[in-house]
Amino acid sequence: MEIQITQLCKTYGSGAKAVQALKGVDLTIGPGMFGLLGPNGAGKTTLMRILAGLVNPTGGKAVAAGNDLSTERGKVAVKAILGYLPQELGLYPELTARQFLDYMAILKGLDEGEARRARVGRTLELVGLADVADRKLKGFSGGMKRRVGIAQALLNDPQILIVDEPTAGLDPEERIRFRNLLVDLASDRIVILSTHIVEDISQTCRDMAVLDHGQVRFRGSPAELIARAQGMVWQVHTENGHKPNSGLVVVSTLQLADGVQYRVVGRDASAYPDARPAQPSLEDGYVWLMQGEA
Amino acid sequence: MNALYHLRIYRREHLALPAGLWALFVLMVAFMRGDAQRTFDMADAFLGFVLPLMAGILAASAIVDDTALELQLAAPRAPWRILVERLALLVAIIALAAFAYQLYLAVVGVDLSALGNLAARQLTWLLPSLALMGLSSLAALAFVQGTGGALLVGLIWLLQLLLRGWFVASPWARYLFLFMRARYTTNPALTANELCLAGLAVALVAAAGWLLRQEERYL
Repeated sequence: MEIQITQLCKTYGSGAKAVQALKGVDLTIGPGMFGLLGPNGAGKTTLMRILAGLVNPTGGKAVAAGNDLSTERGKVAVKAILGYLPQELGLYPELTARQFLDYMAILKGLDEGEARRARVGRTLELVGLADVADRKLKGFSGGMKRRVGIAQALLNDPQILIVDEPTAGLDPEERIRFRNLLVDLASDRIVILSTHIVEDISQTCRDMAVLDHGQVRFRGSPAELIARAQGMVWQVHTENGHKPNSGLVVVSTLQLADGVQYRVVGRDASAYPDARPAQPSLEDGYVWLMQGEA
Repeated sequence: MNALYHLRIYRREHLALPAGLWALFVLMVAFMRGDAQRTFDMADAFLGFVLPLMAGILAASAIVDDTALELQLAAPRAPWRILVERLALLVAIIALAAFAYQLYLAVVGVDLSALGNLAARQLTWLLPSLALMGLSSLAALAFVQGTGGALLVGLIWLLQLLLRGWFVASPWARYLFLFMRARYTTNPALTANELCLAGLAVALVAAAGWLLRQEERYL
């Protein structure tokens, strides 16, 4: 099973106000965890919504598990094997977690009452919400709501799971827990993780793409993106705290007792004699790519 | 089961509107007891005018104000089913208000036979309600905003109320007049008017269902 995306285009509006969200995207996504990285406004959510059968492409083709997403029949067929966690998750605050999941299970076609309730119970346990299953959603924290969101996506045991910015707004502990859950789920299905948080991808994915301005800027493994920044990452220590420039991009800053240590990405750090080469991370590779240098 | 959840996710303030108006008109009839004509007019106004307006206003927010609409649309079912299920719930709420009010009227002795027999008088509130619900749903989906649908319904309702003489006299507009049974029960165009309102309601709901298929407009 795989998802094939060929020359996919999406334009919102028309005439002078037209916005091209996707400009000929080509991707093939197989089973496992796939990371889709890119800045805000890159077109990630549009791509996720097309794959979820919610948005119609204006050009090209997307085929998921053999179903053409430009046809009504194909969209319904994909929705039946899909779990989807949208970026902006809306819930019904007056329902309890159990009621909400039961309702979503009905909408997904799980009609048989006993089996449905058992499935809801198992899913609540899977996301660690069994203890609060009968509490109203309006009292849930952001992390708990996200877990309800992933639970509803898993109700129909989907072959394709699409999660759009799932860790935004989560505390570090929740984020780690969420990542681990996604990795577990990816063992026997396609999981597409869309995010602008590089760390989420580096910790979970073996396969990824970088989307920017509606186009694929990189396609490969995180290791390949890291390799592109080899020899381009430096640590620069300044006592006066002045930020390095000379064409260098600061990736991170570490405040020390005797000054500031900058991690920078750039082709040439000779302007800073004390600069030491450093091993690149995925974040460095991403920054180097987005500078248009890789 | 599904209907039960539809009711649970329904916003409480929306249920308060029909309940509050119902109570108001119960009190008004109670105060006017003894004056048969005025109590009839009051009952007629609630059934034929107020209930349809309420139905139209409530239908405006049935879809576009759903906080989890993206999840609803991502489910493997035809979008029109969401619309039909929500409107069916609203019809049930309006019907409950109408039947409870008529029961109350029967208990206090208000005669509604001028509106037709028991079955026919239900058309007083049902057909204009369905037509305004269809219009409201379509407008709300077209504007992608519940307020737009509610405003349009309010405007049409007010225009028809103020220009009712013109509507009844017009050779074509009388078939679209919402309050024919409530105000002109003996008009020879009544049956044709009611058939037109029923057809109009079906057409408007169908158009709203078609519009809802363009899911990306509502995300």
